[in-house]
Amino acid sequence: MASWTIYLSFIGAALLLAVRPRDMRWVRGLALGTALAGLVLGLAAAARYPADPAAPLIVLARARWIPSLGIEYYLAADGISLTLVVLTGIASVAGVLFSWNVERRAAEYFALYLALIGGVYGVFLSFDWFLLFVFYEVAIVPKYFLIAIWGSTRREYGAMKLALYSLVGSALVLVGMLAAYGVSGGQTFNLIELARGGFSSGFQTWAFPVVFVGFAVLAGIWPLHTWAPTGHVAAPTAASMLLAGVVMKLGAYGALRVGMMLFPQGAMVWRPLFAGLGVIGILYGACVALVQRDFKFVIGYSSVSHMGFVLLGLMTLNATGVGGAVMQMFSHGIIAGLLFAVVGRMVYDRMHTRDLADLEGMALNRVLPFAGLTFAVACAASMGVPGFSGFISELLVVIGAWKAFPPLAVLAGVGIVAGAAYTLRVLQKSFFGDHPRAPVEEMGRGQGLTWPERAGAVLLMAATVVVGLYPSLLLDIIMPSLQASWMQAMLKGGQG
Amino acid sequence: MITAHHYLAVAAMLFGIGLAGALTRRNSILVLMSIELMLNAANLNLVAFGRQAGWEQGSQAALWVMCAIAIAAAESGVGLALILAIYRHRRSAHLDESPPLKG
Amino acid sequence: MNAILTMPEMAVTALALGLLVLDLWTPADRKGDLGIAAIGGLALILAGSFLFGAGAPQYAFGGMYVLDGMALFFKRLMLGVGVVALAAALEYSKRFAAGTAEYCALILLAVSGMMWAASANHWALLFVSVELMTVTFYVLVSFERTRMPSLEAGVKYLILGALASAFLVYGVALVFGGTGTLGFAGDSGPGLGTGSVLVRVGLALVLAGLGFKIGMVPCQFWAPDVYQGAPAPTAALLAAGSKAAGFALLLRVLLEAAPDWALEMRPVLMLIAGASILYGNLCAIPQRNLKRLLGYSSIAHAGYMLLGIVVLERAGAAAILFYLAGYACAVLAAFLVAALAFDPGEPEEIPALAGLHRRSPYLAAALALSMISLAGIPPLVGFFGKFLLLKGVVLAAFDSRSFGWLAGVALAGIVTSFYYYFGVVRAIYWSAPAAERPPIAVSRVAGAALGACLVGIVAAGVFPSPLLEAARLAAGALRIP
Repeated sequence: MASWTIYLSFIGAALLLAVRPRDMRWVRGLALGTALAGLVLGLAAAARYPADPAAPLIVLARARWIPSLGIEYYLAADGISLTLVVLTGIASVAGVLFSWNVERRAAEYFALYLALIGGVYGVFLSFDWFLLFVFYEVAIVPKYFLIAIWGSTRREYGAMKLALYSLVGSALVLVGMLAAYGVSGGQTFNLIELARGGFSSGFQTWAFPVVFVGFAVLAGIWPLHTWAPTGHVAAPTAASMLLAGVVMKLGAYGALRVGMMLFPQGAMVWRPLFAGLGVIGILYGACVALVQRDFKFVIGYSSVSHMGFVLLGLMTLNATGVGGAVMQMFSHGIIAGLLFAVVGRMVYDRMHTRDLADLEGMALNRVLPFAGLTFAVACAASMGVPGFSGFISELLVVIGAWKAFPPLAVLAGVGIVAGAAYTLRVLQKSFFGDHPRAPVEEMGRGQGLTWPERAGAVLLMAATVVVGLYPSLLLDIIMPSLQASWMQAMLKGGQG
Repeated sequence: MITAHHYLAVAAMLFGIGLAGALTRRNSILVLMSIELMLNAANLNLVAFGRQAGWEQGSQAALWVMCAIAIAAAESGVGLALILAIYRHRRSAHLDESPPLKG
Repeated sequence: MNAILTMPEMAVTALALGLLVLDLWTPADRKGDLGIAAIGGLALILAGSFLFGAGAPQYAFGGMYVLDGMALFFKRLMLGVGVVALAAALEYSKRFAAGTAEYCALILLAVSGMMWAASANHWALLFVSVELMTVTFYVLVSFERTRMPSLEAGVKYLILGALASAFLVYGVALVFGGTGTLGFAGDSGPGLGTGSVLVRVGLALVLAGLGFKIGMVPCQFWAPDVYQGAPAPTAALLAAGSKAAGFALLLRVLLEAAPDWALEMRPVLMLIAGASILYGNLCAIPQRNLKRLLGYSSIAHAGYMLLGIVVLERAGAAAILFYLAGYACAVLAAFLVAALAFDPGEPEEIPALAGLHRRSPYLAAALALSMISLAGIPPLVGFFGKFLLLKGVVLAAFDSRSFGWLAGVALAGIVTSFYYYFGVVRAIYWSAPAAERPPIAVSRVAGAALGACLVGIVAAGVFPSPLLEAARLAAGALRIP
């Protein structure tokens, strides 16, 4: 059933383009319905997982696609995929809700939006490398146009930069894919069979960095992160929610699912470098976020910082660290969605400024109390306050890193503190400025939050709180997947 | 004694002269004539080689030369018609006066 | 004599001549029916070509002419291209004062030249078929004789084309001198051997002559100007058909007739492929004219397809065949839209496409799909073609490091091309038009032809297997020694 998340999204997109309903209610309703259906399907699949601990993989669809090259249409899911499918479901529903005010060419907007979601679901559920690559590329077109058309600041520059970075990354992945295909005998692109077959350590040593970097470009690995802040700032609210919330996870997921699963020895060789880059990302993102004047840039750089934790967690190569990284993917997806929703939709669409110095004089917490509450929750989760999802995931990553690289774990701890610093600064400047320049009543007139905004915010806040309070909900499906035989080769090296 | 090498040398010279003309001349009719020279250089080669290769292959080569001459005539026919059409528009057969070729 | 084998070519030629004769008795207002008849006839021949099975190669005219799987694949491709080009011509020729039937007949003759080329197994047939194509194209390119750009493009094509023919003939003469035969097969086995200097120099000149047809560096100078100036249906036929014919001949000459020489020249061919990719893509970036942009991009696509030749194996040839079919669909769709979306005499500027999605959603979607396919984004056919070509190069890189560089150049080119192809899509959908313009009426014939191209782009992209199998079967007929 979970494969219907993909089909429904593309069907919804096609319907919107074909019918182009005049009535905005139909457009929004169709988009929301499609996104909701995806969320429900994803939740249902995750709730039943793992049906059988001995079989950590649920096969959803398998058919021969291009037999002469051994390419299969092979959709399957394990706990890691399902975690991210649920994340995509939540982020897409929230994104539709926060796009309620899109009036300009709404049918096309939502069609591209759903196409992007469909591609993302497809990546998370593909267990054939070729198929995964196809979905990965399919997602490029809609995200380019979503930013280039409906975006704001320097949107064409941001869109093109994002697209070119993604394409360069995919080019690297393609090279690795073809090389692995050739080396393994040219029979299959099936990820599990490739992982079982194994590759020579010499091949892994050069193939791993190619594939890993190719995917990690999209995960915002330092120093290839520069597309992320400009892209996020340029994108319309829902698209930046998806970019930071889901698209960056595509990169991290690919790096894990393909790069690390197929080339575990290569990962062992290269992990000091990439773990180091992850920590640099954490600290660099936090430091730059600390001095930004633009509200949205702060959030953009915070994404780079948080994704650094994901990379660090992956590179620990132990179950705690990798599990923590997957948790962090989920957690950051939700939190980034919340942050961008507050900045882009709740604040910018009303105040028409994102300059922190201007916002300081607006006493936003009194003008938009609900937005203030939402932002406070998001900031708390982002800082890793216990009780929110950010806490448990960053904790797991740091514990995992402590086992593998103690010095880096200390630096990551410093990163958490720096994160608290910029988060508190932006929270104080944006919502709790002390010197309103105009009477509060005047600024707040007719600007109350609409119900879709409240609903979206509640959904995202609920997700981060529920996972924060009951992390076992996710850990129980992530950890069994790490026990699968094809993941074990990767984790063997990282116990020390 | 005149050998195939002599013919080859003459043909190569013809080809070179034609190529030089085609590349340096600015009058389109002269360019066409230069290209004809190049084609004829090839024909000369073929005939010379054909004579060397014996009767069967040689007759094939000769037939080829006939074809090539006919085709070259068709080419010049179309070419001259085209140049004439341009001349009507512009009162000049010089290639220079085309707008500069954009890179 | 197996003259029956040449039925398809003969039928196309007869159709062209019949069209010219019938034109004498057709009143001016019924000329369009002649075009419809030509389309129907060509489609019938296309259907009839399936009567020939792709069995063992069969020869006619004393081995001059070969009908094997590859020839058959190319013939079907060219017939299909011809049908779409005729549909475009029918639409486009409304802006000529007269000459619909002549234009259609010339297209048919060019198609027949391409089909002969697909079966060439002898230097004489190679030369004659190339000339049949080229001389016809001189007229087709300059057909709008009241429009100066068309005439100028014609002269440019004429002079560079004649120059290329001269190189070709001179090269053939030298090869003949070196081998003593005009057939592709030497006395000792299938290949010609590379023994003498004459053969080597001759083959290099032949390569230059054929390189002109496919538009590879350094024989590419004509492409942008001619694509821009020529009437859109002619440019479509040039891009989809003439290039395919050039590749058919190149495959025969390089892989069948002179494989040793090709192996020896591999570094040069790789250099040419890389240079074509870079030159085409980099020069396409600043272009504002749609047809000119397609001209530059056609150079890049020739470079991509050369990747299939430099690996010198059957899989590479199959990749080229697949790529050619996909490229034909995409580029025909693009030129069809270029023929329909602009007013007569209006230059095909990309910014003028703004608002196309309101004037005709169908044309807008078609052009967008074609651009995305040319850029190589899945699930469209262009992606899978590039995938196949790159597969060969990356696998060859295990043996020789230089292939790694070539793969890198190709990937850089593909990433670059994204920039300008998406510029076109953005112009269609998201630029504000300078002035409101009336909707475009698309005739039934043109709409159906465009639909066929779009089905090809999408279907062969999502389900590449049937086309891939056909291409592999066709490439299997190549007698690579």
